[in-house]
Amino acid sequence: MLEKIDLTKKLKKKEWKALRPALQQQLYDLERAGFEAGMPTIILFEGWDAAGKGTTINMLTQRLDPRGFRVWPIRAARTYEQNRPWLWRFWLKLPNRGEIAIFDRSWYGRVLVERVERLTPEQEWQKAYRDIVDFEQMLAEDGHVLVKFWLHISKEEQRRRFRRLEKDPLLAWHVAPEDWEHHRKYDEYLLAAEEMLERTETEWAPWTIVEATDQEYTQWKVMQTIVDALGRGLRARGVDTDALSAEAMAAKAAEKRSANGQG
Amino acid sequence: MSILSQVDLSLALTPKEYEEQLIRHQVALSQLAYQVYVQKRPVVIVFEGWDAAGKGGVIKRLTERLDPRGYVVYPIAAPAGEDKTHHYLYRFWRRLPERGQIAIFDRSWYGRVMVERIEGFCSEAEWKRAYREINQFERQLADFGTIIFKFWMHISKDEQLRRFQERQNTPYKAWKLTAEDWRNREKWDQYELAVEEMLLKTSTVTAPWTIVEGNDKSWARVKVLKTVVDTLSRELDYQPDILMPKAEKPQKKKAARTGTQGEVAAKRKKTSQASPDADH
Repeated sequence: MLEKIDLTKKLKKKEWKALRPALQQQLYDLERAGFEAGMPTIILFEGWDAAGKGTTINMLTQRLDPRGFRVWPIRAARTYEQNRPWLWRFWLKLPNRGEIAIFDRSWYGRVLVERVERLTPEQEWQKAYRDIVDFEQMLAEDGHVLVKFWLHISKEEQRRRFRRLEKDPLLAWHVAPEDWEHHRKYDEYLLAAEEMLERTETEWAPWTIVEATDQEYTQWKVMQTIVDALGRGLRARGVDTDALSAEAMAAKAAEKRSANGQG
Repeated sequence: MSILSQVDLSLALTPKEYEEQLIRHQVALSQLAYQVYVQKRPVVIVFEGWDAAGKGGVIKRLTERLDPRGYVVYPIAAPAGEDKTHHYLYRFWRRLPERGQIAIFDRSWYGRVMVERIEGFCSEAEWKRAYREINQFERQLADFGTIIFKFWMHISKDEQLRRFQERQNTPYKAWKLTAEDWRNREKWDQYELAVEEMLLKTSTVTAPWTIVEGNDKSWARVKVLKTVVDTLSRELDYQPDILMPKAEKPQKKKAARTGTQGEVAAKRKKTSQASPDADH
C-alpha cells in the first residue's frame, strides 16, 4: 500500500510562505471556536524517525493560544504506567472538552515499536487493534474530533536525513544509536505500519498519509487537513464556521457598536 | 420472567452463624489480600444497589481486617471538576488500581445506565451505547489480569421503607437519609427496569454480576465475603488455612488413623507450607 505513495510531492517555499499565515490564522480561530463549543480534539502523529513530526508540531502550535492545547510526547511506558491496563496512560491524557491534545507518537506504538522490537508478546499486540478501534469509536461518539497522521518517507530519505543531522553539531543529538537500529529494520516497520493503517482505518477516525519528503508540502497538508477536520466537527455542532474569520468578527462588532449607538 | 423477581429475599443467617462465618471469611480474605499483593494482581470490587440496601455496611465488613495499604474505597457521587469535562469513564480510569491493589467502588460506572438514565443526565443514545462501552472497558481490565467483582445489593421495596423509617427515627443514622432518597424511592419501578436491563446486558464471563439477597444484613455480608474469598482463592490458586468449617474439626483428630483423611491432612499441610506467610 505505502509503495503507491507519491513521495515526490512538493510545494515551493514561496508558495507555502504565502499560504501559511492565513492557515495559521484559521487554525487559531477554530481553536477558539472549539473551546467555546466544548469540542475535544485529538491530533496524533505517527511516522518514521526524522520524518518531521517535531517540526510540524512546532509550526502547528506557533500561532495557537497555548491555553487551549497540550502536546504529549510519548515514549516507553514508565513503571507506574505498566502497572495499569496498556491504554491507561492515554486515557489520562485525553483533552478536556474544548481543548486540543496533540500526541507526538501515541497508542499506536503498541502495534509499531512494541511489536517490531518484541517488547510486547504477539497475543497482546494482536488484541490492541480491537482495543484501539473500540477506544477511538468511544471517543468519536462522545464528540471528540480525531485526526491521525502517518508521516511517510522512504528508507533512502531517512538515511539521507540521519547523515545530514549527524554532520551538524547542533542537530546531532537527534540521531541516537537506536534510530540506526530502527533504520535497519525499515522493512519490518513498514509491514507493521501497513497492517496498522489497514486495521485501524475507520469512518470516525481516518488516517491521513502524508508524503513527507518535502517539508513545505508536509506542513501544508497537515495544516489543511486539521483545518478541514475542525471545521467539519464544528459545523456538525451547529457552529457557523464562516463567521469565525477576523473580518467577520470585526464586522459583527461594528454592527453591535452601531446598534448600541442608535439605541 | 424478570431476574429480580426470582431473588429469594427470605434467606437469612442466625446471629451465631453470622458471627462464626463472618470472622472465618474475614481472616481468609486478609490472607488472600496478601496474595493479591504478592502475585501483583489488580482487583476491582463494585457495589451497586438500592438506597439503604447495605452497601456501606458490607464494605465496612469487607475491609475490617484488611491491611489498609492494600486497598482504597471510592465513594462515587456526581462528577466534578476534570471528571466533568471528560468522557464519563475518565472518573474511573483515573481511579483504577495498580497491580497488587484492591479498589472498592461504592457506586460506579453503572451510574450511567441507572441514575443518569432515569434522571435524564445523559441522552438516550448515550446510555444505550454505555452497555457496550462498559463491557469493552471491563474486558480491557480483565485482559490485563484484573479480578472483577460486581455486586447488586437487592432488597424489597417494603424493606427499604422499613430502613428509611428506622434511619429517620434513629438520631445517629438520620444523616444517611436525604430527601433525594425519598424521591428515588418514588421512581422504584423505573429503576427496577433499568437494573434488569443492566444485569442482562453487562453480565459477562469475565465480569459477572452477583446478586446479593439483602433483606437480611447478615446473609448479605457473608454472601459478599464468601464470593470474594471463593473467587480470589480460585484466581490466585491459594487456599486460606482458616477456611475449614468448625464442624469438621472433630473429624480432624480421627483423620490421622484413616488413609484417605490422612492424605487430605497432608495436602492441607503442604498448602500451608507453600504460603509465604505460613513459613517458620
